[in-house]
This record gives sequence, C-alpha cells and structure tokens, in this order.
Amino acid sequence: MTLLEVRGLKTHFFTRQGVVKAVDGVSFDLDRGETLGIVGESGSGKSAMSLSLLRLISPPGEIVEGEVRFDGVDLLQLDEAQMQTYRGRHMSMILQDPLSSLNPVLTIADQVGEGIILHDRIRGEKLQRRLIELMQLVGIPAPETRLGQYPHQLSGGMRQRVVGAISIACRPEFLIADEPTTALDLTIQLQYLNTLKDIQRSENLALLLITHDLGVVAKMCDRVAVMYAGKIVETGTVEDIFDRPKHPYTVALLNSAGSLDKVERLNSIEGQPPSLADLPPNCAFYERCPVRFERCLTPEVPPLFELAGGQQARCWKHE
Amino acid sequence: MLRQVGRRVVQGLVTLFVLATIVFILARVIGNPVDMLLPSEATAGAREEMIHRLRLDEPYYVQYLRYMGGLLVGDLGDSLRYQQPVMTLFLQSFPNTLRLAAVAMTFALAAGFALGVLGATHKDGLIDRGIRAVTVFGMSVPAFWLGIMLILIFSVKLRLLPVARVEGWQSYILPAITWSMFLLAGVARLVRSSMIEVMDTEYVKLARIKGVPRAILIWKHCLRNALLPVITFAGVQLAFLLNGSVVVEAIFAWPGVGRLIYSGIVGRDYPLVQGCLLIVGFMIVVINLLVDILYTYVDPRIAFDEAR
Amino acid sequence: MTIAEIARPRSTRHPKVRSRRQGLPWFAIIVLGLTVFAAAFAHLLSPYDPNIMSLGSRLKPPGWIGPDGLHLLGTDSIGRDLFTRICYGARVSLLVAGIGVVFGGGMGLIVGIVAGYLGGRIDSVLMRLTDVFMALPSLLIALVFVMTVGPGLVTTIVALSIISWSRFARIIRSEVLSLKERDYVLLARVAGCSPLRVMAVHILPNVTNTFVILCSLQVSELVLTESTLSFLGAGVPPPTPTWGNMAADGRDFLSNAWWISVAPGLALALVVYSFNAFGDWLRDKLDPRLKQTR
Repeated sequence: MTLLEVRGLKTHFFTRQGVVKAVDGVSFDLDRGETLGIVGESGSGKSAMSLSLLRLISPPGEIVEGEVRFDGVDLLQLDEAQMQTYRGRHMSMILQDPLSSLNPVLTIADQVGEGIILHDRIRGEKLQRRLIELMQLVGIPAPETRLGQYPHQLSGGMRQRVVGAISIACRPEFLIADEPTTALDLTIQLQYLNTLKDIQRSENLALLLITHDLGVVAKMCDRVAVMYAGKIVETGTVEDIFDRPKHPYTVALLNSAGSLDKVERLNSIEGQPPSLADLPPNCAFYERCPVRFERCLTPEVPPLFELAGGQQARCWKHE
Repeated sequence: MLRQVGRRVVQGLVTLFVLATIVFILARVIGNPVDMLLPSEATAGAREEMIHRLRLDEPYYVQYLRYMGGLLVGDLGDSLRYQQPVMTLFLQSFPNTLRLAAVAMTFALAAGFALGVLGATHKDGLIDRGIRAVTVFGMSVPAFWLGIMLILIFSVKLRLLPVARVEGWQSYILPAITWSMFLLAGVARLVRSSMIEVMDTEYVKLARIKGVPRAILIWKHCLRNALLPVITFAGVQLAFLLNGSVVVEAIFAWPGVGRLIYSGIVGRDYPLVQGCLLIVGFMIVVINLLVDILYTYVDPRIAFDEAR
Repeated sequence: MTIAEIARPRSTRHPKVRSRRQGLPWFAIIVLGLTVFAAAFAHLLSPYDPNIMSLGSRLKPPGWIGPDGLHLLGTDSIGRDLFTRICYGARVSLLVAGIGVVFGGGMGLIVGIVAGYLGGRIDSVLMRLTDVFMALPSLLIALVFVMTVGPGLVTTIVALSIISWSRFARIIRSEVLSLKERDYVLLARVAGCSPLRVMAVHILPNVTNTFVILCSLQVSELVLTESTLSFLGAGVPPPTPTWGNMAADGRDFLSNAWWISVAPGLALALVVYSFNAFGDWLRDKLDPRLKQTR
C-alpha cells in the first residue's frame, strides 16, 4: 500500500553563484511500514530532498516542480495553513543535530507537548500521561523529572531521544530521519537505532532514513536509493544493492566503505562530485567513473534503466 | 546563587569606591574650587577665609576621609547656588526625570521590538528596508538636533505641541521621542539581527516540522531567544541613556536631574554636579546588578557568574 | 542541512553569508572625503571670514545674494555666512574627534595590553578602573572634567580621550588574553624575552586590526559627544565655529531663521552616519568576530 509517491521533484537554490540544483528530478515510492534508505556523499542533495518533502525549503531555495503525493494528496498544491496540519501530525522528521535541535529556553515537556497540543488538542492530566508514555517509548529513564528540565541539563544521547519523541509525538504515518545517529557515540547509536526500529514496527511507520553510513542501511532498511548530484542513480532492495550493485558509483561507495560489519563512513572515493550549480550535460559521475566509455560523453543524462527484480540504475552500461 | 549575588554586590561597591575616589581627585586635587567660587578680583583675605571655611587647608588625606565618611551617610555636600544638600535637590527633581524616562524607555523598547520583529519577518522586503532607514537615521542623528527639529516642526511651524513646561501628557511627546530615538534604533537593529539568526536555527526548524503556525513560532520560539542580546544591550546602554537626560532636559526645559546637572555646569556649582555624578553612578551599579539577575531568569542555561 | 553542503565543490561559503557581505560604502566614503576636503581647504572654499559680523546681512535665508556675493546656506543672527562656518566647523569636529580617538585609543591600547598580559593585581586594578568609566554616562564624565578644568580646545580633546579609552582597554585586553596563550608568545617567554619586549614585538602587532576597527567605530561617537558638549556650552567655546555651538545659536531663531540650526545638524548627521557605515564595513571586512562591540 503506497503512502508516499514522489514524482520528478526538483528543488533549486537561486544563489549568486548560479542555480544550485540540489534536487533534480527525484522520484520514488514508499509504503506504510517500509524503510527506504537514502545514501550518498554529503552534497548529494539528500537533506534538501527530505526538507522538500515537508515543504520546509526557505529562500533562496524553492521547489521548482514535481509532485509529492501523500495518501493521494499532492502536498505541493496545498496552502501553508493546510500544510501545517500535515507537518507533525501526519509526517515528521528527526534532525541530525540533537544539541541544536532543542530550544534552549523551553522545557522538555513544552517542546514534546507542543505538537500534541496543536494537533490533538489534549491538555492537563491526559497530556502528562501521553508525554510520560512517549518518553518511555524512546527509552528515557525517569521521565517525570526529565520533562521538567531544560535541554542543557540532558546528555547528548538523551537529547537525541527527546528529538525522537517530538517527532513521533502525534503518531505520524511517515517519518524522515536525517542522519539520526551521526552526533552520537557508537554504543548509543546502536541503542538508538534499535529504539527507532521498534517504534517503526509498532506504529507501522513509513521511514525515510537518510545516512551516509552503510552499516546503518544494512541494519535498518528494506530498500535503498543511492543519490548522486541531486539525482537517484540506483535503487533496489538492500540485498540487490549490497550484493549486486549495478551503478559504478554504488560499487565505489561499497568499496570505500570496506567491510560492512564495521560502521564506517563513505567518503573516500577519488575526486569530487560536480558542482550542483554547474552540472555537466552528460552523466554527472563521468569524471570519476572507472568504467566510462564513449556513450557516456553524449550530452544527455542517462535515464534510470529497469533491471531485474525492480532494481534501477542510471548508467549507460545497462542500456 | 546567593553567593554569586554577594560577589556582584561587592564588585559594585568596589566600583563605587573607585568612582568616589576619582571624583575626589578631580575636585580637590586637579581642580581648585576656590578659584571657581570667587570672582577673579577677590582679595587675598577673602581667599584665605574661603579656604578655611571649606576646610581646604587640611591635608588631602583628612579631606578625603571626611569626604568618604560623608558619602557613607548619604551626605554629598551642599549646592553652592541653592544652598541646600545635593541629595535633597536630586530627590526633588528625580521624579520628573523618572516619569519622562519611563515614557521614553517604554516607547523605545516597544517600538524597537515591533520594528525589529517586523523587519526580521519581512527580511529584505519593502517594510524591512523602510525600517532599516529609520534605524540608521536614529543612530546617526544627534539628540540635541533631533529635539530642535521636533520643536521646529511640531511647535513652531505646526503649533501642535507645547515647546516646554510640564503640563499634561502632550508635553511628554517631544522630549520622549527625542530621548528614545537612539535606544529605539539600537533595539530595532539588534532584535532584527538576532531574530534572523534565531529563525535560522535547528530548533526553529524542528518547531516548523511539528507544524507550529508562524505566529506561535515567532512569539514563543524566536522572541525569547532573541531577547537575550537585547537585555545585555539595554543594560550597557543605560549609562548612555543618562547622557540623553542632560541634553533633552536642557532643550525642553524639563525640571529633572539632567537639567539640575546642566544648571550646575552653567553655574559652576561643582558639589552639585559631582554629587549627582555619584548618585547616578550608584544607580547604574544597582541597575546593572538587576540586569544580571534578570538575565539568569530569561536564560536558564546561564549560571549567574557566566552572565558577564 | 545547509547549502554549504550542497555547493561544497566550488565554494564552501553559504550564499547568505555571501549576500551579507557588502561592497565599499561609497556614500559614506564620498561624504567623509568631502568633509575632509572642506575642513582642509575651508579658507580657500569660501570668500567669507567665519567670524566677522555683518549686521546688514543678518538672518538671511539659504541662497541669499548679498552685496558681497552668494550665501549658499544663508547667514546667522549676526550675519556670518553659514556655509563658511560649517566648513570651519568640520575642521574643529574632525580635529578634535581624530586626536581624541588617537589619544584615548592609545591609552586604552596600553592599558589593555598591560592588564591582559601581566594579569594579576595590576589587571584587577585596571579593570575596576575601566568598570567605573564604562558604567558612567560618558557625557557626564566629560562635563565634569570640562567644568573642573575649564572649557577650551585642549580640554575638549582630553575629555574625549578620557571617555573613549575604557572601551579600547576592555576589548584589547580580552584579545591579549587569548594571544598570550599562543605558541609563539609562549616561545618568546621561554626564550627569555622581557615582558616589555613580548608586549611590544609579539602582542602589539597582533592587536592592530582590532585597534583600527575600534578607532573607526569610536570616531562617530566622539564627533557626537564633541558637538553635544559644544551645544551645551562646555566644548570648544565661541567664536570658534563648531557644529554644536552653531546649532545652539540657532535655537533662539527657530521661528524666523530655521536654517541656522538645520544646516549644521544635517552636516553632523551625515558625517556620523558615514563614520558608522565606514566603521561597520571595516569591521566586517577585517574582523567579523567583533560584531558585538558596539
């Protein structure tokens, strides 16, 4: 059952250096209860894409075209007031930096409860019970005390859990997690991911997990989309991507990550991705590609080629 | 908390002590009060008499001790011109200054806040540009000239408002605008820039993800965080504001502390001016202490001693 | 997620930062250039003497053509040409504020370096002293000083130095505190350099940027204070023309000769604005960290 359909989404930033095409025609589907991993180097447009889904792109950025169908409704056609009833209520997001994601002058209860008061209109006793329930759900000990405290009184891991609690406070159907664990210690990362996975199962959440950590992908995801220079260059199931990568960029990513048992960052591919303000007319990976051939020079971006088992790859090899 | 307040109080006392000493040196060691008091054609006998009467023939340290002892019991000496204790004169005119200050500061803060928030929420738009022009003007225009211009336009040309004299609420308008302009511009500028900064933070982004409407976003999430630098600014500007008191009260003939000081300057009434300086210094030290305490209240992160 | 992340390959700068950076403040530079020019060549720019009365041409409006020629900005209550007096007034304003800032800044520089570098008791004594000067209304300090010593050109300059040194001292001290921990300073101390040498050779050159920025930001305040002192009759005494005492002269003639007050005030506002704009630009250019110093 498809919850989210994204079609041809383009988000551009109109800067002085030119038009930065951060998201340049992204399409994908996401079912209830499914986890889709979005993988790519920093600068590939992952985060701009996720913010676009919530329509939280501020100037100079702008969603230029595309469709974001949520439960059949195209979010890009809604006005801002209607969109507000979707944010927090139906769809939500966990930001990557727990240290700066909480307002320093409001208590934890204020911040976790805000969305609930807004969307579900619960107050008093009932709200308090709900808050405690939420805090327990994300694994925060002594919730009654914690609720009355301010962010600076909590550790980094606790704050990340609070951010998680805020995001799922209104039981959204769709959750985006943008690098949810990069700011955490290794041991806490694992705990946190387990919590996230449990919540996803119990609430039947559609989860979009943005990361550059292939270990996290292997642990958490059903399907994977690899992003490069604002486009999806390969999608498939986790098994497909890890065992039978079809795009040379994916191959390079996997190689650079080394053994998957170790949690490592992917960043050591030769060369730099092209500037999003000045994309070449041909395949954007051409400059760094180890298997390029003449076809790749044609001034045309390769389309996503359908392969066996629903796998897709944006590479002329599969023409 | 209590210990930190205690430390601040001690620091403030030291500041006051240094201030009193500086005023003493200025008055008795560098300046010569007798020369100032007597007409230049006075006889040597008159000089002697004067020196003796003011006990200026005693050694400096004795004078200093007597002077400090006086301060401890609130004795700031007598005004030469009015033949009354400086403290009495100060207390007589202080309520007038306080009333005007209350009006001017309320206006400055309220208008400065409104303009700052408006500018930030309409960043780079027409409204924002207009507001920025006003603040630039407010920061550049000298208070005495602004006062004259307001009188010229509203009293002399349009005959809308009274020039001077404290009568009814109308008499507050021009002095209050004159006095508040600089602070207003500063507050607007600061609120605007810190609002813009706060609106760009992750926690505001998270609030938007929660679906918080824009109005709540601005009032609840942004403004309180944007308030911190403003409090600091207002505290720092406090001393500066008293500059305005002298100028504004001189222009509008407002019977307050500023005018008292001004009349002391014109009439060379040095105990009056120095006494007022000491009282003003005392008030500033006290208010700065209060600002520090307010600061910890607004920002729960800050332990008291980190506030400065 | 920032755009810096997206646009990393070519430019690491956030576009917002980019757009906030401004070009040269041309308006301010032109105003200041003209003011300096007028101040320097006041005696050549105008055929009139700034101080000679001419009762026949009293209170004439701007553009009045008298027997002796055109009076661009009109005349004052005793027939002196306002344009001429404004040019001569620029001379006084720039001179007094300029020298004041150099003296006061120099004093603050020395205090800041000594307090920051030597630390300990000297530091706390000096800092308590700056506390007092920072806490008090600058105008009041200047007024009390002028009253004690008696008004005059030199008194005004000294008064301005007295009110400006403390801010220099405070900011430069904090700069020195961090410089002191730098490796090359530590090394110099280990090598046996005397404190005086370390301060002069290793510390001083590193705070010059800050010093220059502070000077440029402080000048506008001193121009304002000087004119306010003159306005109150406690600055440079008449007949020397200053913008402050010219505006004060005009107060009594607001109903029939508004230009006497308007012209010098406008000049003052323009110059203060220009110094502010230029100082802000210089600060952003040289050292954006100093943002909070105004």
